[in-house]
Amino acid sequence: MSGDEVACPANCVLLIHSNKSTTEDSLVMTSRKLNPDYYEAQRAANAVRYYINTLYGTPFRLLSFSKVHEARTEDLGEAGMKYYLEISVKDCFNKSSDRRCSAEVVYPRGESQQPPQVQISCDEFLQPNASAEEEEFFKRYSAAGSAVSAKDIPDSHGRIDPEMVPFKNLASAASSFIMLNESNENTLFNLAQVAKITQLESRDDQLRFEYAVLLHEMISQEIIRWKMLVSWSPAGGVKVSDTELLPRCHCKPPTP
Amino acid sequence: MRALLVLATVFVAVFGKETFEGHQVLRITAINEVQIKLLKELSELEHLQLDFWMEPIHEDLPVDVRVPFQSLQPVRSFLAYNEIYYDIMIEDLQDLLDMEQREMMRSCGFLPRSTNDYDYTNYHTLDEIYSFIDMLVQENPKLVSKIVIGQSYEGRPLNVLKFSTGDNHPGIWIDTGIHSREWITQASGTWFAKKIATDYGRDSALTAILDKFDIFLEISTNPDGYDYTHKTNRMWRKTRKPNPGSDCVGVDPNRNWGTGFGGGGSSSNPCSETYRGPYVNSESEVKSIVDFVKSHGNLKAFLSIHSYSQMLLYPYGDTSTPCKDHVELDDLAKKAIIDLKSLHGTSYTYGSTYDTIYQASGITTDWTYDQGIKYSYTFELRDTGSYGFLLPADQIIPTAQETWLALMAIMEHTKNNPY
Repeated sequence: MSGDEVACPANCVLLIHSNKSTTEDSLVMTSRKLNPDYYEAQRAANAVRYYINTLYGTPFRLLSFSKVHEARTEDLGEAGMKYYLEISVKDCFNKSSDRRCSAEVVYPRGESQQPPQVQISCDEFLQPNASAEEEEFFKRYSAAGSAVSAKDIPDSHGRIDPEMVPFKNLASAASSFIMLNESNENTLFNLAQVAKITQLESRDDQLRFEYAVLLHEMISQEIIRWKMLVSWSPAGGVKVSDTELLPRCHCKPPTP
Repeated sequence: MRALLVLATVFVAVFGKETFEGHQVLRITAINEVQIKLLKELSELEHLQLDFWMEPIHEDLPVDVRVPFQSLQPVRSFLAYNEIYYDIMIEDLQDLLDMEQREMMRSCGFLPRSTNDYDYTNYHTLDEIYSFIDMLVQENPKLVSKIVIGQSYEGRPLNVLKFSTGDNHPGIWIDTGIHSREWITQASGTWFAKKIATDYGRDSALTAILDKFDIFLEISTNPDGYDYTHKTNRMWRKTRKPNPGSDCVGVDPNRNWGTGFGGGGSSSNPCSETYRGPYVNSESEVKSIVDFVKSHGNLKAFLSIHSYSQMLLYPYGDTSTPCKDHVELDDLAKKAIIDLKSLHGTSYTYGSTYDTIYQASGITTDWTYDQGIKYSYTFELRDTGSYGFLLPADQIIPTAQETWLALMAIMEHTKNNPY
């Protein structure tokens, strides 16, 4: 997968990815109760969201939280900062599915980025039932010659072809691996857009896709481009490999 | 009948196409019962795929029939042979349909003739928004005027709608689109403009507000960026001013204001999305508003609209130190989001910018608050991340409607609590 395969918008010059250089005040965190609506609790709840989607997300199922009820931190010293959360987890496509869960997030200390460790209490709720939709989808795209290919999902106007919705959901679930890996106390990620999807040949009874996705990071407001190889089957769940951070598009004004 | 046999042998059945290219609609005038009978027999020849808009019944009544392209020759031969008179009503049906489609699109927003024709359920280009502004002024000359407060970096006019019922009124300011990729905001701003013009004289609450206050509404606060999101990069946030010595373009217009400028909630790197700019008010888009606010001197509320996150934020963003009026602003925010939620159930969180979302330095509402405009709020509209900046167009009106309730709560409070 070469980096320049993914198209930057026209008139952009590709430069080497520049490191974030924020001079944000470092968070001075001590053990304390948090306002569950405010950013510290919200960022930690999002880490939980990424985590549960890596485990239980599918083309037809995405999980999120509808509310953080309670939150507090515990400073573990060298081991990091621990967040205790009470959250309501919901299935994004099933309105009546709210379930209250406890979760813990430990952000490690250190100079370089390391993913947080996440635990959640309500596993049995999150364990998916076998879905007819998933089986049908899997069968359909496992057929010989299936070669799904698309870009810009949703488009600029937020439109998604109904047939592409499961592929977008799969991108969300798969991006959760990246978002979890990149999470720390100063980040909050969402999938902004699927830039490109290309189906690869199935292997080991898994559907395989190459995705290029745009992630939005809320604190820096950056749009970060990632490439990833995604495999999925109803039995095997979502697997992600070969993730690659793509160069930033810097847009030079046109030379006269 | 011999004629029919001729027809049958001449004609070769062709699989019908979906379009109506080359189809003609004939108006046939039968002069006697014999001709009617012939036409009835013609209508029974299925392979011709004739579509009778008006069936052959009686010689006094016209017979209209759509004839697919491939059947034209045999049908016209048949009619000629039997001396049955006809006119060509529609020469090419597809052409007509295309023209009608274009007309429909025109009246649906591509070239609306009035703000009643404008399509509020879709996103629009900058030109369409600017046309909308001019139309609204034209339609409501007593209430609405356009002020040009300055020019963008690329020379576009910075247009502000002024809603006013008299001179020397205090003012309320609303801006949308300062971050160009937040399309739901410009779309909502357009809806707000129409709402104000429509409701004045009809809605008692809004009328009472406008009788005391002017409302200033800048729909596309960053027009260069907005145009760029249509033509080049949908995710563009900043202005489009190049930065000397850097390949990176643009300044974050919401980090370029004078209060808290340079703080930790902004970046010194021109390549950053939160780049504060080389100095305070370096961006004309920002400077123009600053100049307007200072010269007006009597604004009482300042509402700056962004997306996404579903939040209602008050000062400060640069510091955790609570602002002087934080209790009142917090209470008002609480009321506003209750009103907002009442419409479609959308949940917002609220609080100071610093506490609720993140440290942000040099932002609009920190500065406007420090100028003495007490009711300074930042909105973050729908959603909370599922679509983010790419909010589907079918959410424009529900979002605008619910947000309007929050704006009304703040404007009413401003009116009822003079300072």
